[in-house]
Amino acid sequence: MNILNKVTLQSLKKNKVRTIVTIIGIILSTAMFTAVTTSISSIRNYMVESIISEDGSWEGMAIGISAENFKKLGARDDIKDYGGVCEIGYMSMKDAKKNGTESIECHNDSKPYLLMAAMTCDEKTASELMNFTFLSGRMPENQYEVLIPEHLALNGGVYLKIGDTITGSIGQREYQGEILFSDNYYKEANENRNDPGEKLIQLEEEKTYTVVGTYERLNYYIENYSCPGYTVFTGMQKPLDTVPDARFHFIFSLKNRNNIFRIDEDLGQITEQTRYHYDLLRMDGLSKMNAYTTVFWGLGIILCIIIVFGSVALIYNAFSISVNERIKQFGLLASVGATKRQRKKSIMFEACVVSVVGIPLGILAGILGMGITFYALRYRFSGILNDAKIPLTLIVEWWAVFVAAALAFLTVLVSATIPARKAMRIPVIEAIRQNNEIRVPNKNLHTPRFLYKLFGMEGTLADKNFRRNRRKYRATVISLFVSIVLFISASSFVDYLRSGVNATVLESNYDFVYYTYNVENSPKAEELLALLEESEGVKESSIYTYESVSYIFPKEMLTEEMLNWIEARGYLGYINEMYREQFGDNGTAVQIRVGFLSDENYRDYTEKNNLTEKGYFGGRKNALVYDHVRKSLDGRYLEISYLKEQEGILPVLTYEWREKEVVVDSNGDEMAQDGQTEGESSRIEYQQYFVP
Amino acid sequence: MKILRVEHLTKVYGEGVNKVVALNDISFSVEWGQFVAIIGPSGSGKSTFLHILGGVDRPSSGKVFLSDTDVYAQKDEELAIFRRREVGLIYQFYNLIPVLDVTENITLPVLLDGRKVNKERLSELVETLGLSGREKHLPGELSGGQQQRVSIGRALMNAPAVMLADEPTGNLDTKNSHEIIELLKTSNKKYNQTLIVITHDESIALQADRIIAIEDGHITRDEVIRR
Repeated sequence: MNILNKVTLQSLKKNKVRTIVTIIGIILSTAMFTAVTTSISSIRNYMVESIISEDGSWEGMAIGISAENFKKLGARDDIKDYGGVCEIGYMSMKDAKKNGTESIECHNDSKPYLLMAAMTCDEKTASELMNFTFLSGRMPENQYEVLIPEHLALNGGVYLKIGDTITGSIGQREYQGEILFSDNYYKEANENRNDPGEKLIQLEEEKTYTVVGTYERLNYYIENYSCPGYTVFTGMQKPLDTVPDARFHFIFSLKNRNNIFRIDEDLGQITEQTRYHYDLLRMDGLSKMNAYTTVFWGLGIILCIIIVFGSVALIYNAFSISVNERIKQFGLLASVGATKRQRKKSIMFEACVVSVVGIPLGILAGILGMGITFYALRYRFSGILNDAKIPLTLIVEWWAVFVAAALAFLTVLVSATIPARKAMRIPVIEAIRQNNEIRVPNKNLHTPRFLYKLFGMEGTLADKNFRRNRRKYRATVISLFVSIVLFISASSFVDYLRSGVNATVLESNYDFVYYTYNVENSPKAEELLALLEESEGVKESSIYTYESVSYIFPKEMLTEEMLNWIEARGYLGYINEMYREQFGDNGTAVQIRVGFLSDENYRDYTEKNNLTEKGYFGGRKNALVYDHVRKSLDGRYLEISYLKEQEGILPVLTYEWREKEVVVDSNGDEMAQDGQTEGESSRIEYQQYFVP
Repeated sequence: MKILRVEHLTKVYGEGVNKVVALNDISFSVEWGQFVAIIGPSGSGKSTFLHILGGVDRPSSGKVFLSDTDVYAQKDEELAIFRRREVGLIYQFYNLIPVLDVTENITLPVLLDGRKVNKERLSELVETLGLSGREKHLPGELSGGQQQRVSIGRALMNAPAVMLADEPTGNLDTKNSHEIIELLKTSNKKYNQTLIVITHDESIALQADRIIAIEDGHITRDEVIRR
């Protein structure tokens, strides 16, 4: 072994306490880096898992391809998993019969069809790729057995039991000579415009299908919002061969996710449309919408910088002590002929030795610490990112360990270099004598009298000590400064994070919320409330009814910032067009939500917000306006007050309000008491209030 | 033949009011193999002088030539290498590396040079220095005399052109002092090494070939006793 390295090692052994302190410093700093990097990798993984649990692990989707192309794509060797859905055709529920005789009535006018489909893969692949979730009954085994989606009842109000039959014929949608697909919304007939709407061209003879089970609604990438049918899976085997002329969706994941956009060109030639699972892809930075990942990584980088500063201060001090003790040794070595480079190398060797011990231990400590933290928090995050109960688990990825180790080593090197430089500057001869530390400038120091009076002799001594040795004085001041800076930056960081989270995630003080819609067969809100109030463990419950309405506001009522926002968003332009005749350029459409509370809740609400009842109660059309809204613009969240005046009259136009009887808990954004307004146009008197 | 030549050497410490002239325009030279004793009162500048000869300190002005090399024309790195190959330094307080054993301390200049240790020379040195059996001891386990022998061994290991000793016996009792001086003299004779010793001890000075007295940074006396 190099003799200088031996000297270093032996010195480290000799000064055990100092060595241990240095190593502990390194362990702490490495543990913090590891905590940051493994948190990033774990949370990223958690988000990926959440996304997969919601939407499946698919990465791309080729929409509307032929059976032949489907087979070709399936044979590609860059595809990892693939599956698909075959759209056989549409069945009009109006013309279909339940159990042979009963008519089927769907409440959702935009979804009058059953989209008869078949899966081109087994259930397992389907559940992995597109989060196909089987709910009850059994899977269909032939083309006369069907699996119906849950939302057929929840959304369409069509209740079918297992064992019920559906009789109808499958056809193709056509509108003005063009064939319509699942992406084309339902074209309703419009007598005024002399538009007969779309029609169904029969493809097959009438058949009878038996319901054998139910499944959860497919994700929106497959059955999208405008799809006019409920996807019903028949048990048709090998649809690729049985109905080769049907429309197929090829859903896939790749062996290497990074190639996802490379196959875009190939797909573009054979598909109507290619969809990508951006939510999932952007986790790997494979998306143009990277603001999300930027924030994520930005946070990590800021944290790491804070830790670098903090730990440099700590480890630097440990090294500084070590180097001071070794200055004489360096002098000796120099006098025997050790060059500057050799001495520097020896300090770097020392840094390496303590790192070799400290960094692995620090990584272990960090992993252990985060493991415990994540274990304690494992279910706390559920419900924020996913409905499924996926626990947050510690995922240690190699890059996380590598980055933490690299950052820690960099920190150690920086910490070692600063005192090393100082040691190198000391002339050899002085290093041997080692009188550098007690060199005192030869000048008189006058200590102010008040110091003596205040602190006595000790104070005077301390004052002289500081003034004679400015370097140490400076070190103390800098240490204090650094710790305060770290404290402030850490706490304001947390503050920003909190307000950031508040701005993006609505604050809520409820645990559960049930939505019910004004459709037949759905439970009444009052019944739900009564049920809840009787349930054990329910502390508080209330009903909130709301209606989203587009109002035309005279521009002079709105604040500058609101107008700017509307301008920037080009918001509700079509409504403006509709009412241009009436308002010209003086009005602008603003979508607001009018909420209704029960008298009791309303009273509570006004009391909680220190708003006296008087003035808000009584009048039939009196309302409170919550004038503090969060709006997003270019990926940022803005807090906007939108009304200029504290009190005034809101002209209520357009829609007819349905009568509401009861209402809400105290979380409503905007609300009016008593919602019995009818007719084409009304006025609401309002008073603004601000949440303190 | 001149091994060492010094021209107009001046060393000034501090500035302004605190200015101290340690060496004031000194010129002299030393013959190959000469044993020179430097004497003078405390603070006369003799230690500074020795350090500048050894390439440890830098002069304010003037030149030092050792084996015709302009010592201070070299860069720091070259100077360090020059020091470990051409000069052997011995201090009053031995200045051994406490964590290295006797063998390692002696061979330190060779090891720093990255060369192989000449085992024969090492064992010969250890034998001559009377350190046989103590090769694996750490400096802390040795007496003052023994430690000084180790430091002499270290200075001799590279067979440097010049040996410089700053009060090598200042910290030792009479018996040990005598032995150390004998050792230095032996190496001076045996290896024909030039030896410059700073001393307060007149009996040591009188054993030298030449005595130089320094006072207030000047050479006040320079006499050759024997040739």
